[in-house]
Amino acid sequence: MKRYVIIGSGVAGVTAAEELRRRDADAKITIFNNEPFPNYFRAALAFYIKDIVSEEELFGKPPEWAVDNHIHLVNDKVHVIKIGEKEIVTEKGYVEPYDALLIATGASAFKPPVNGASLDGVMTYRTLVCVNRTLDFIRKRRAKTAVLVGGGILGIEMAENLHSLGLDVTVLERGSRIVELLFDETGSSIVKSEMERDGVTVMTSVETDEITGENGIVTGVTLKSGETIPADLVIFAIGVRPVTTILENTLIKVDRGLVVDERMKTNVDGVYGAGDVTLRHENGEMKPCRTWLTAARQGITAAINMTGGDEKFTEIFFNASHVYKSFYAIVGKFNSAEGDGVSHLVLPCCEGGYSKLVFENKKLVGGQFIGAIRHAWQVYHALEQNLDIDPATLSIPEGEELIKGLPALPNHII
Amino acid sequence: MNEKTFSEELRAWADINLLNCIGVDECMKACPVADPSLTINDLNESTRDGGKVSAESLKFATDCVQCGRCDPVCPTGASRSVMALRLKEKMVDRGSAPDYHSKYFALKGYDKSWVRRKGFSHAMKTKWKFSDRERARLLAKHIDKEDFAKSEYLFYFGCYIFSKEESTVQTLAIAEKLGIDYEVLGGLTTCCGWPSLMAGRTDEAEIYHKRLSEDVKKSDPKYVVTGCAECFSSLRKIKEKYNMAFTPLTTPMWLNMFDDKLGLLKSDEKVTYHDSCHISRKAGLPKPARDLLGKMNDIVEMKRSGAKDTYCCGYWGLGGDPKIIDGIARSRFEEAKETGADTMIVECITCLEQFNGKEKENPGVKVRDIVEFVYSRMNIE
Repeated sequence: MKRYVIIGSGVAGVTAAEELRRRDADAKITIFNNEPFPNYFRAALAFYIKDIVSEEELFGKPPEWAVDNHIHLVNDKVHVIKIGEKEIVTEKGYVEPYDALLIATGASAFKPPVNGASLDGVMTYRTLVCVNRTLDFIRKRRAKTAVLVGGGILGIEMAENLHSLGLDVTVLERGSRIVELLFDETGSSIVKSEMERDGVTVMTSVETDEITGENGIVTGVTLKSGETIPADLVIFAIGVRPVTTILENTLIKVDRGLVVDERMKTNVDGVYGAGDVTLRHENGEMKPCRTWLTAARQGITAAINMTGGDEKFTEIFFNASHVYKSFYAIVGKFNSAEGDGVSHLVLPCCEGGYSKLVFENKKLVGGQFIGAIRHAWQVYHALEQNLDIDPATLSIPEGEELIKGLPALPNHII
Repeated sequence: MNEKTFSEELRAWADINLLNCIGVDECMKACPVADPSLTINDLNESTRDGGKVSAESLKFATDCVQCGRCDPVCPTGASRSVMALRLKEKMVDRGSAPDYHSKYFALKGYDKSWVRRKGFSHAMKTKWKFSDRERARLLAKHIDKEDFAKSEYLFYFGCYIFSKEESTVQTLAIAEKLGIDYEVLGGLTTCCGWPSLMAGRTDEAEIYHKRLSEDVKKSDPKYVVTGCAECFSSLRKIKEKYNMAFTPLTTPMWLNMFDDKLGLLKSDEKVTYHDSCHISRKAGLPKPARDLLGKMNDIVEMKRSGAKDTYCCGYWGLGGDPKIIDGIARSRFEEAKETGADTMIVECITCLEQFNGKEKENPGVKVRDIVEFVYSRMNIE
């Protein structure tokens, strides 16, 4: 009987466990989880904050999942990985040997070492624990104003959540525009004006100097320019860092993240990685995981290789969710700038929306979408089937109709 | 050309959609049939390969009519309707799939010899052939035909040639008056495959699709016209799958092509219009019926209407929980009443069957078939 150990019960870990079980009915599969909750839908936290989804509804697996799939789910923190002995030891002293180990410890929100970062009311936005803490704080302190440090996708999402709870929200972005990693300038300005229409303040090209406070409780944010913005609540949403503490003092290679190859293997035999903890080395490039879908698929790839298969991870990047109050989706090489063989095709879209296809040497390679996202799936299917799509062969639809010349969506044709 | 079977395609689509699900529950809130106690994690676990299927999920799989209301509300663009089809397939694996085809043939007069292409169809054909009603004789010659003349238009009536005689006869009468070149495909032998699909028997549905494509090919039409939204879906499917040249049309799309010849009479009466899920939402065609009706009457829209928001009639012909079906019909009649219109027009035969059957319990709004409505307003010289 093979023994598989998974550290982390995020989407990469549990998806890997399911794939392991599918491939090996008899194996012993153990997941170590150090969050006080089972696997949950992280991306649904915004819906939880707005009270649309309850805490129970957040959980990604039914309560009987572990039992039904014969998976040992252990709520304990892994303390040491003994590579030589091929076993792990937990903080409670539990020893579990493995034939293959998957590290899927994820990432944690980054709080920069600025003055005042440890004041009460300075939060991050990543886990159910942070969210519950933030909601408690708002209730207890009757917080009225909030500052979001970071104008990335999570910062914007939290800004919307807090705005919907009735707080006055200011977003601080260091760069010259918000959601820079996801959209081009047009996209960013669409999101920005939508926020400003709602009364959310968006400040760009500003840097946080320190967090001010009184009696241990936050009172505002001082910018490098000297300006102070009063706030009852400050949330950092400036990115995440892979959780690699258990890998310290091991031979497993870490370089800003757990280093894995395209088979999700680390440098140590029998040890694999998947999800946000990893940095994938591919053709000299380092690729972080970043999204829910990628994490899940990496979990599957890792599981296939752990059970003796040979599977390379090939990514068709796809990410979709809310940006402020609109749907958005980004696919493939969504953010290549024009020129050097790259051309763009802007589609007529819904009101207040924005859709753009990206071509490299006249071949479709990706797209970005705000508002209507069904075309994003068409692009996904085209990339998945590796179709050679020339912009000249596309018939551009009015509004939200499907693009003719790209694969039709399965659900539109059943 | 796609060589994968429908079932293989479905599995691949469902897998990627499942991985993309972020659990925000929007699909279930939009669903007309799901029980509020059914959770996303249960549903996902039931749907995925190797996951345990719960009783609650099975109930949902049986009740889902593939209206697709769940799809546009998903922030990741994942398709719950595709996942639901995959879940339906799992009913077959578990041996708990309803046998809608037996029901289908029973409904139309079951005879086990249907496999030999006899039974009810044959009986009806014989009976209608010698009927003293002209329209019965007209339809009789089209039932379960094997030979088809080449024609520009092929009217695909499928099984509703039996259930909605008025609509089919009137369609043909309009075609005659317009003097177009047409052929008719109807009866039990050329099922659109929907009953199989709804029972999760995807492979069986694919056999029907293939057979339908072969029958269509025999007539080699430029257009295939149908009044049933499920048939329309299957036509779109076979066009894509078998790379066929014909254009599928709904009856309003066809009638719009001849609007200058129909001589439609105008009226001041306000009417409301019930969208078909498969036509308005999935095919993205909410306009043709509205354009056609707009030439005769003012349309007052129901609260939930159009491509994104239209609400299912709750019915697809054979399966489903009667309590749910009745409830949906009631809510739809109420919405129609709220518009102040006395007439609700439907373009899909299935919606028509559903609402016709519920008119007595929901008085105040008259339900009319779009073909019959046009027929009554035509003034062809």
